[in-house]
Amino acid sequence: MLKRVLIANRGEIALRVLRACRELDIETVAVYSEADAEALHVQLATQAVCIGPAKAADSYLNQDALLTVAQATGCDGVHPGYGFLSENADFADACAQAGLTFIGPSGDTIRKAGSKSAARDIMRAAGVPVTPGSDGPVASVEAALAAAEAVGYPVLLKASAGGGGRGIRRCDSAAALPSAYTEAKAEAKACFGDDEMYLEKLVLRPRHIEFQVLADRQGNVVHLGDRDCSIQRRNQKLIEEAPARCLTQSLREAMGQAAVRAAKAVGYEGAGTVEFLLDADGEHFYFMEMNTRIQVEHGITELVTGVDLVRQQLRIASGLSLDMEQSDIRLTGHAIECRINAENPGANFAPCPGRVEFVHFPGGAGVRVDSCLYNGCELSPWYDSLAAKLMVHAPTRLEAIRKMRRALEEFTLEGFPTNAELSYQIMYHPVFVRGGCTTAFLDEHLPELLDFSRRVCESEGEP
Amino acid sequence: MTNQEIKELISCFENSSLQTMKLSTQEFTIEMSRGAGAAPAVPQAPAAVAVPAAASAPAREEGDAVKAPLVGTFYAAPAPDQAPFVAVGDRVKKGQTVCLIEAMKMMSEVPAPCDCVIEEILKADGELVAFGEALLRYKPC
Amino acid sequence: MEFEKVRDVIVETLGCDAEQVTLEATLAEDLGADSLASVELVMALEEATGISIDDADVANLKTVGDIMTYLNGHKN
Repeated sequence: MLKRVLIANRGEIALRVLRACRELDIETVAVYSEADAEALHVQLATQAVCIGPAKAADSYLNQDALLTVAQATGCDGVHPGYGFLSENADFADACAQAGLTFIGPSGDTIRKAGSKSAARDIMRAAGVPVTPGSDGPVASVEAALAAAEAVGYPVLLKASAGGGGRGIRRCDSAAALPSAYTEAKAEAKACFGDDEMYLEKLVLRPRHIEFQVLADRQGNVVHLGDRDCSIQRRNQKLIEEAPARCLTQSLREAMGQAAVRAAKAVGYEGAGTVEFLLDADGEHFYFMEMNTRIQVEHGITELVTGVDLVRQQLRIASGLSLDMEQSDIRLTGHAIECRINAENPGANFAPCPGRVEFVHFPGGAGVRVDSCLYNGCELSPWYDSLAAKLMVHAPTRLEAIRKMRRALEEFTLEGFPTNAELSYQIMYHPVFVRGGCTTAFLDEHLPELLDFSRRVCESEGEP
Repeated sequence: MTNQEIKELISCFENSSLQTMKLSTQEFTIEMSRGAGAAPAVPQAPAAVAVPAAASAPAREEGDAVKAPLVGTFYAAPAPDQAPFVAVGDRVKKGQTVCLIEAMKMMSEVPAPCDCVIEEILKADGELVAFGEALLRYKPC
Repeated sequence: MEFEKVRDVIVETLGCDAEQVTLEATLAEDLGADSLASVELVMALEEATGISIDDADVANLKTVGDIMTYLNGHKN
């Protein structure tokens, strides 16, 4: 097994990886920026080394610093978490060259699956249905116009290296395309340093369904069912559920097999996610992209399958083959996750980090909280605003919704505003309870939801 | 306080770089210090969790210190067989190289921030230094 | 579809007493179900019986008896 792993990340995922390592008696080396000196994972790791100032580019994205510490502290593995360098093929290669096991797929696989347009061609060849779109990148406005003409509006202009909702623009007509194209290209350059663009048909009112896959080095691949991430705002996920209620068993099997084929097509290794768009008719699904990392919302798949995905990543990276067959994997009950962000939904979701004056996390049967927060800690403004993940698991979806209501009521955080109240209102919204949400849900119902939560705050005398 | 807790306290102390630790409760006081004598043979407790409060580095008087501009391996001399850049008591000019930090085969020269006298070299050759960590103490002149 | 099973689902979901759940009992007035509670009751019945209840039909399920007839008529 791996003996000592460098955790090249921060926040709740660093803590998540640290815990899985501790349970396998794998030592952990945490790295941190000056802003994270007092972070929980830094205090719990076997060893911790400051690698730079707060700015991510000089710390968590500083490959030389990470590799130097990994080698100097005798690490044999590097876990990239999600975000930061987790899908950076060059970093994966650099780890290999430095004799370190990158816990994830190889650099080549990341390149194949990571570039959204290259992945589409590979999937099409592997018999995985893809959304109609441009054949490979669209290098100019003219090329984009031609591709959009062929596919039919509305279309989505997407950065090949995109992720997390960045470098994407919707375009409903030829007239609007040039500005949308240049805007998306600029954003892609700024966010990912790579402004290669491609174009896809915009599937209206789709559901965003993703499948968790696990693949070992011996060529075994399984899928661990699906997650519905339709509650999102500007492509940033807010609430995720497993399994997706709208999938019939036959559709789930078909999509699951497609996810396995997708993983095999790119020679995948480790834990990954294959994202599909499910058409409003609930019949046609299209490959959207593959994420070559453990995802923020992986916990709900763990709750409904009982499989510890980060432990599996460590086993696979240690060369062990999967200890389960597809037939062993059962989805039992229903799980929901609410991402608690340090943001003010009433102020256009402006991030507002700060100091945690007081925090109380809910607990009890079927409630799991993944968070780095502790009383008195600082949530720094330098990184993303995710403060905690509240997850519940229950035998049925309705019980899970009622459990989440109770958990959100118990959750207390003083020091900065969060979206907890908004999530609480969503738990009482008939469309959500009925399970009819598409990715348009939040945009359509936000005003009334915010109105409810404001009236609640006023009645409780909060500002 | 049970034996197990005392054992963990000892291993916590051993794993930390504290020079002394004193703990007093109503019933008794424990005092530990890193003396010259060999530490008592205590079975190695499992890697004790660094108690959050005591996690910070020992407080040597900071004074003026040259801090590591990046994380890497410290070298006092330009090459293994050559004399170190500076020794305690040397007068150095602003900008003069006082040591090297190697990161991924790339050597970075660390300059003296002002005209000063080297008071203490805090790091040994080949030691990993964290970003911002004190390398040498100096007195401006 | 046995009555006891449906009754228990109604009791658990609406938080009412078993004695109140008679065939004639109306969901809104007698059992105090507001619009959200009736959406939740439909969800609970679907999950307990495996029978999917069409949103359009939910409006005409006024009494416990209506629910029984619907479930017995739509056993898949």
